[in-house]
Amino acid sequence: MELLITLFVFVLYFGGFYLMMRRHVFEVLLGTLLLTHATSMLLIAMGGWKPEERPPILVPSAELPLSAYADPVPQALILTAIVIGFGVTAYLVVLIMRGNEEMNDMEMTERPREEDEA
Amino acid sequence: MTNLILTPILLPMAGAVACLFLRGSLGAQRTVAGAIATAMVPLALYLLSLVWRDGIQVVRASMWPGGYGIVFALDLLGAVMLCLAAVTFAASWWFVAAGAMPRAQEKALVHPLFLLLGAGVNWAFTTGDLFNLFVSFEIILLSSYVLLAHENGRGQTREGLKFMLLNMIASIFFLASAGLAYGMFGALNMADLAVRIAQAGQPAAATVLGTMLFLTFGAKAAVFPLFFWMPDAYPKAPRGIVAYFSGILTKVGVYCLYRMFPLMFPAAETFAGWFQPLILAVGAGTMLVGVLCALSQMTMKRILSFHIISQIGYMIFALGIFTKLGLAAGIFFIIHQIIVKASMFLVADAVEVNEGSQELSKVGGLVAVYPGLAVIFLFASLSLAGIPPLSGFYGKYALVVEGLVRGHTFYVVVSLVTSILTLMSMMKIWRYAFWRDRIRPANAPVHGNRGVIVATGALVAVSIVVAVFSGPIMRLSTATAEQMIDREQYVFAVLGDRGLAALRAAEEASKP
Amino acid sequence: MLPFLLLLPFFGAALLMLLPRERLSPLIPAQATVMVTLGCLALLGVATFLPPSLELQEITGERFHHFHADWMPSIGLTFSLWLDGPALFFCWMVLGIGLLIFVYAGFYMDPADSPWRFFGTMMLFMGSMLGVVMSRNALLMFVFWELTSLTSFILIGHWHHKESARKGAMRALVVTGLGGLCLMAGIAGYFWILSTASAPGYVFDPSTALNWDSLWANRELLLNHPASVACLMLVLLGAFTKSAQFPFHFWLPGAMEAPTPVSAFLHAATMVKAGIYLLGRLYPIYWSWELWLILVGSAGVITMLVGGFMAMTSRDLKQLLAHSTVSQLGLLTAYYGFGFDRAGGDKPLPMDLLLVLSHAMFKGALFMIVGVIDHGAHTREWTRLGGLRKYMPVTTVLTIVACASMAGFPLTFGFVAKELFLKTALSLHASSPLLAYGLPAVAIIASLFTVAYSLRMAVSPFFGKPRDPSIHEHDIYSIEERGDAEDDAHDGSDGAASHAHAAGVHEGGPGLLIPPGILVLACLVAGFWSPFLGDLLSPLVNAPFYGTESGFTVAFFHHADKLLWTAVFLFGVGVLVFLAGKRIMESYERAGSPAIFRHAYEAIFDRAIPSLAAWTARTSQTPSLRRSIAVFFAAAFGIVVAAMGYSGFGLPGAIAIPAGLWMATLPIALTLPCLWVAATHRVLLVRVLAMAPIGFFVAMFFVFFRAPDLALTQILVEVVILIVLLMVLFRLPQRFEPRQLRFDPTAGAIALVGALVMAALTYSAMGSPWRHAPTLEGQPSVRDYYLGNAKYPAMTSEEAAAIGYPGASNMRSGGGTNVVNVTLVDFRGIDTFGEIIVLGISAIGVLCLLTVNRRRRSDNWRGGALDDVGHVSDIVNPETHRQLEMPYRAWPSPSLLLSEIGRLAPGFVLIFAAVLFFAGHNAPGGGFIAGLMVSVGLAMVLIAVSWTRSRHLERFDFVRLIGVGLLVALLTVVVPELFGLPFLTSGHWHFHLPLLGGGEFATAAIFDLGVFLLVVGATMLVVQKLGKE
Repeated sequence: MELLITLFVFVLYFGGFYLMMRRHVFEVLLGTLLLTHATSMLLIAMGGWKPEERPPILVPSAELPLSAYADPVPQALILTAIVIGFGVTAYLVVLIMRGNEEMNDMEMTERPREEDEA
Repeated sequence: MTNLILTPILLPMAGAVACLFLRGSLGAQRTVAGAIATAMVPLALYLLSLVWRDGIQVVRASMWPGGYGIVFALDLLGAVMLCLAAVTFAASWWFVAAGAMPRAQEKALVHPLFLLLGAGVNWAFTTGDLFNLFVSFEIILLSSYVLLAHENGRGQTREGLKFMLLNMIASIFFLASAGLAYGMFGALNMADLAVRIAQAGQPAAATVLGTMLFLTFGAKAAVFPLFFWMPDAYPKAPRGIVAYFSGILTKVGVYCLYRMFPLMFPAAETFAGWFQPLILAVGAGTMLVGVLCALSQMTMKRILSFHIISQIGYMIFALGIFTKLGLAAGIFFIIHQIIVKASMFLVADAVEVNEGSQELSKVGGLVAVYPGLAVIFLFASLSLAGIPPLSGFYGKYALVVEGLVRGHTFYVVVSLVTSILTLMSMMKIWRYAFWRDRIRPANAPVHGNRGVIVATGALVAVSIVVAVFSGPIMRLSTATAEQMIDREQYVFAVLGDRGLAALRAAEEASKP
Repeated sequence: MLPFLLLLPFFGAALLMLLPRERLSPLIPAQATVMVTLGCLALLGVATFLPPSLELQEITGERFHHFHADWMPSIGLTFSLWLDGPALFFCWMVLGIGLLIFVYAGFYMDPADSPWRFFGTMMLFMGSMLGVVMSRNALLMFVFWELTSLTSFILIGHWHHKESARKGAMRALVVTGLGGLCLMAGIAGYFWILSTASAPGYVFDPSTALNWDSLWANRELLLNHPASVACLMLVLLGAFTKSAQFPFHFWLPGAMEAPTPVSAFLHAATMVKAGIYLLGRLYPIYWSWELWLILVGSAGVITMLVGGFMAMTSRDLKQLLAHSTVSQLGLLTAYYGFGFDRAGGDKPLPMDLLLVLSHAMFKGALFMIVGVIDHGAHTREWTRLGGLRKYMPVTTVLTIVACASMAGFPLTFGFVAKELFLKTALSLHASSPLLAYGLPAVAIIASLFTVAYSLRMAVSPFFGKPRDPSIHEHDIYSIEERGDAEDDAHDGSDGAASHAHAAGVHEGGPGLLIPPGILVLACLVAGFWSPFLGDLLSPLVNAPFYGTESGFTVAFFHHADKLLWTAVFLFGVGVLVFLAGKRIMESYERAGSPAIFRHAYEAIFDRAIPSLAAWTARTSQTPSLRRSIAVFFAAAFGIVVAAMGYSGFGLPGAIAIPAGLWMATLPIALTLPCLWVAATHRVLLVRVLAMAPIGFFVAMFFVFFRAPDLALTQILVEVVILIVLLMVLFRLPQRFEPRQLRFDPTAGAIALVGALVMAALTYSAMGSPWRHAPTLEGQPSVRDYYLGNAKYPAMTSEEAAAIGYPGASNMRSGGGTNVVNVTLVDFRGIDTFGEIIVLGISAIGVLCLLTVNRRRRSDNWRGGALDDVGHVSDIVNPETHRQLEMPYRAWPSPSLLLSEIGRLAPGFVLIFAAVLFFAGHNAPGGGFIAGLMVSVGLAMVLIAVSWTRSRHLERFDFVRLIGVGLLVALLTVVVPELFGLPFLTSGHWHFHLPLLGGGEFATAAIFDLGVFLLVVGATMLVVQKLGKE
């Protein structure tokens, strides 16, 4: 599993980084989505993986050892991260829309209006 | 009061919620926000005195012991930053409330957003947990994105986008590093992390983790190769609030660097070998590139934005020296910088509010019209250039001395070159905007606004106070540096004697 | 007493700044300044004639007044003043000449010419000059040193409407500022040497290390350190720039754009002497070094020569005086150079107080006189003046005497000084004859120029015919004067003349004549009674040697020795040079004056640095978003890779993959084509739709890692984001242009490196043994602690006491079996608190983006194409949406089925959400998931059901809902304070309901409710606002 998750992390990060460096702002947006996915994959991997683990939902009846459950910490972190990512993305999407409305330019390479350089 | 050190976080939040309900009337919003903005200053000062008197203050949220729950710990460094944040916040809030922006725009939820921004910043200065720090960073960044793009003018959205995307990348780095910190060392609490890094004795992992964090916070602090998000964006930020941006936001990154290295990565084999050269090189690059870019700009705020960068370089340099006096110089420099930089931006804003523009090609001869503003600018800019006896001089000189004593002669030379270039670019503004014959832009508002000038003067007065009491403030910075260097204090405060014992044992073991 | 003496001028300046200028007469500043100066003089007199009391002497063992206060002892900065010999002398000189010049200025300056700023700055300068000479601590002296530079900058630019004034001020500031930095570095170097030095019986005391006397006492350490040469050079750079020594002499003539009193006070009498003063302080330390002779001596004589020549070849009298000042400063510098004695000599030289004093006298007088001539004749060019003696007899006499003293004519004070200088010059013995004879020879040639330009000054304006008759048609002249004083940079006269009433060529009033008269008289008196003066000064001149008597006495010319004859001879030759002078000047002007160093300065500071700066800005600051991101990535990954390389970061050995896991490769395999489409397809919509599955594959991996909550959340979030994207999509260009589809190899390479780095980090971190090891000694790891304490209170009362909340143990509990949810609302509840705030902010941000400054848009699907969005066009208050309400545009018409589902959906959704919410604490679910569920449902309604039928949803004020959610969460966070517990501490109770039976309730659930409300509010606000479009 370690190798597989690493592979997945690699794929997602590659796609994310590449799209972030594209011209079109919307591709950059997709890139950020990918990077969020990749990072939550990285985080979930941090909990480690064992074949016999169960979800971290305690079973009071059966007295299981703590090692029988998966590590809840990364899961909590990821939940927070997902929510934050969701908020940021929602704002970013609208920001892009407005940016396009205002300068009708999806590449954002145009200089600001006033000439700044001496 | 059990949770006293959390009031700087929750007070503005409560204010923000109130403003959300009161968003019908600007007057009510102003009353709430103003009361809070003003009350924060004595509160922060009181907290500083508390920490100074009784040592590090700790609150264990939802009462889980340190290392498990989220712990808020306020030490001298954090308390000093809280005070600076409070002062800057108050000044720039009063600037806004003096009518710096159109009423309707100000009414459109500027106050709650600004309060949330302040809350997030105070949060970052107080928390003792790495992931929680990430959360507070997100609050800061999202509220600052929103404020930045708030006016929605042409360019705002564009620069807002750049600002936002580059900061999102930094956040992703941060999130990944926090995860890696847990994955590698099984801890998120910073004190716990320090202990475990010491216990693990894995210099390789520690080095890489530290580098990731350095990049994260370096990007937030706008250091040399990673500063692209800042200088185009800040001039676009709303008037008045930009002072808080310029004064505090980048310094949050610097604060994190100052918090992180002495606490987690002081070990010689990782620091002296890798981090020190890295930090020093980055610092030198930041100083020079920043000031050179500043020299070539033709609008006040862009000049100032690039100066933020070059001055950040000084702080990084001080961190790189990594001795008691070096860190003390760095902290003194931060204290001076935050106040002076914010007041410089307020000056530029005051010019813009009164003259309708802050481009050097469009304004001129202000010295005749606003003698008060001219004096204010002169004080602020000269102390920015580190001219004695103004506040900028002491940190710079201490840095030079300590740099020489520790044998970083090259970086000392760089810092001196930087400061003469700083003086030149400051005087450039002076020559164009103040000394030249009177020019008045076409779109200048009919009647000026003196209130903003008063708010600006108040902040500059603070910087003069810093200069007058430079002796005691240097003592404070030195005490702060001592507390940072002696990490056992922090570990003990957060983890108790068990943690302290573990740390000592680990350090004993690591000794050959 | 010393602090009062020092601070009095500063108080005066502050007073002038604060007084209400509108209501007071413009004469007040001048009077106030004179008053303050008199006060200082009184204090100084007391300090001089009341020696410190005996017991004070016994305590400190020092023979003079001094004052000490700690400032920053740790870096060697202390506020310690003293009045030793040189300090006393310079204080008297500054204040005395200052008094005369202020009186003069009171009559000279036009009352309309912002006298408040002028005199305030003058006083500021006087104060800082006093500080320079009074401070015992070298660093303190530097502080005041910089202040003098600043005040001179402001005073030079007093007439800042003149471009030349601005230029001159800038040049002066940059040059002296640069020197100041060097000086600071040098002083820092001293501190460094002394703090690291070690010698038998030497103890380093940072608070006194930089005092002049202790620097002198430890001179051995300073001299024998490898860095001592560097320090000397740095400090000398400071002195040379300040005193306009070659090659930095060019700023001083430029500084003559200042009003005449400023030139007389700062740039002749006092400020430029600061460098000389510094040399005087350094000399006792270095006088046995030949390097000292080479640096100081040669700089001095070259300056003498250059300055003298320039003076002789300048037309403007003020320029003439400026250059002569340069050359005289060279003389003062050379004096110390010649003081070198390799043999270690029996007795070092005294300070050159005589030379300084005499120069200050005649040069101050001459500048004031030039001002009088300017007032009287409306020009300062001697090539136009002439025959003035008829009009201004007094001025003529004064000038002649002052010039005689400048030329060192016998019977004047200047002669005494010159004699002293010659004696030193001729008694120089250095290792190489080149130095021993070359330097004095140059000095003597230079002194010929001195005679020449003194004569020029004394003769040309006053005798013979007027060379330019036009100056007698004063009215026309003064009018055009008034005209071109405004802009013409190279206009000889400084604007004061333009203010002067054009009364023709006339003698100056008594106010303008008496002050220079007094100085001129002093030159004569001092010349006659020089022995007495010598007795007066000799205790002072011996003082800088801190104890060792140099045994110097001023012996003067009553015995006619060879020096007298030398002087007379030189004078004779000088006359010849003067006669040749005009021709030399014209030929020099025909050759075109090179002014190499000013051009060099301009080349560096006005061209080279700006272009370098522009280049840096161009290269380091790209407007293109894409490039900045690429550079950002490249730098970051590069540094991380370097760190890995440095630290030998390795990967743990491969871990065997248990059988039956191959299904986990499925999502990866499916991700690749989706990625490909998402990255390459040329239709926007397709790319978005291709992105969606990836989110679901991520959710699958969550399942593999036993994270049901995450999987659920991930899917819901994917749906919501998809909805938002689809809503926005219609406002964006639908297709990519071909050039936007080109593959970018650089980006690919960078991305590859980055992805490899992250993958490697992930892999090695997974292999780390430390994650689940017990934390501190005997403490469970974080994971075990969470799992162990989620349901039942594990904290005993002593544990509670250990973390500082005694007796609170029974309050403590997670109270749930879903550990992730308990972590979210309890262990790490604060994170969740922050997270919902982020969500709220983003919703508010969307609101602002869509309402503030938004113009009604023309109906084109591509959006954009707006004419310039003005600054504040029409802002819309968020709570009244009507104004911005867009004309409703039909969505692609909703099919009947869809709308039916849409109408039924909410009910199901709400029920399911309720279940999820209450299940949350013990099973997968919780406030956040429930909130998302509700939002999805409502969003469906918004999309499916046409607007007309969901007005209530459209009207609903979700901002208020966000507020409520925040409020609830905030309350649950704050309430524990009332019980003296830390924030967010949750309690839980068992309860029995008649029908439902027993149950448990944890206050954390209330917090979860807040989360729920906020999530619904935020999400729906976004959907609602976008839906309006």
